[in-house]
Amino acid sequence: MAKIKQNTIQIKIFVSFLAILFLGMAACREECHYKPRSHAGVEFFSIIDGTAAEAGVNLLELKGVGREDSLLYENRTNIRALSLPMNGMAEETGFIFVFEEHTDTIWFRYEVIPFFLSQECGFMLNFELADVSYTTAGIDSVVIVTRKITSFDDTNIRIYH
Amino acid sequence: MIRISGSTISAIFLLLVALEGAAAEPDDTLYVRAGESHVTGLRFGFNLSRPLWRFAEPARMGFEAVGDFNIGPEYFGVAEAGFSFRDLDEPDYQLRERGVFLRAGGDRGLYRYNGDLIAVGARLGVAAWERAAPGIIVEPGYWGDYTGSLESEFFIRQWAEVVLALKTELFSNIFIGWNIRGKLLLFDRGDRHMNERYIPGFGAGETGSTLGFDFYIYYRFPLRN
Repeated sequence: MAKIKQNTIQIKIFVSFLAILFLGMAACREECHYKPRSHAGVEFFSIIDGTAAEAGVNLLELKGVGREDSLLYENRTNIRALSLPMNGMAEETGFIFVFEEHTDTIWFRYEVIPFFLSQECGFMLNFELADVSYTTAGIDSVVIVTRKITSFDDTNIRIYH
Repeated sequence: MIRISGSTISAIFLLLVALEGAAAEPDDTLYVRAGESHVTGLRFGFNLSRPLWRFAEPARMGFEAVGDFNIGPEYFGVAEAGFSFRDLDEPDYQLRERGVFLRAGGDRGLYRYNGDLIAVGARLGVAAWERAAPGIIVEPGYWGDYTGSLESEFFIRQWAEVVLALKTELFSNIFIGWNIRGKLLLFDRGDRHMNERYIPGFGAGETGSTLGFDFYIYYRFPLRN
């Protein structure tokens, strides 16, 4: 009798556990509240007397090559940093920088990396930067700082004037 | 970092309640200490939590068979094997994962009351699985829609576990039980396409460690009384 009574108690505990477990599981499904995007982080530097220092630039226009009808930035003064969206359907993306006194184009070459965020949010795109090429009307040089382009607001390249 | 969900906390609480219930009012004529004469044999069972997961998460399906056998009065050899699928069909992506796993190790009995058993153990696990995402759409940005896919990729991972297990004999040679597992991935190489991975037999998680909880039903093929 003692054994039967004990088993009855254990079965009740077991069934109670199942009920609570599945109530908890039913409440687990969430919605996607925010889906981040990966942009390349850019910083501007000036070289004065052989020394590099962070310096703002006056940017009249910034647009993608092939998307000249759509400006990313317009009439920004003393801008020190900005972010650039890469084209996921291509292996390289170009951007036209129209400064006050000159215009330069920078090309990014990269690998596209689809990244699964969650069941609710699905995929976003990260990029692995391979190299950068550029014109030198006003730009002195471009240095790659971080090759992984993610949504973490890292600086990926520095532009030296 | 170990992830503990609300369900896991509920499970731990109820496990403690169950342990207390099992220890209450011991009948000296029935009590058998670990190491004394007892029934031995191959115990074979199924993980009930895996098929029941489909009610909460229909995209995921799994099966796990387990077996243990006495290798001494207080020690059990344990093997656990199974497979799992995850098929996600959302408007902007499809994800297919299929894999198998095997865990092997042992348990040591700490407390036995007739057929009931509380044990601790350790396992080594290995999983092999394949993943593909045949259709991915990323919403329009400056450059418009992205449409692409992830080619099929094959993975193998290993992990170690510590286990706290409870089994109770409901009827002659028929047992139910549950266990809590702490799991740690070995030689984790990360995944460039996914943080929150689902590894068959290990579970989901963004980190290399996790807690798991499963419940089982067993039948023991007795060898001797």
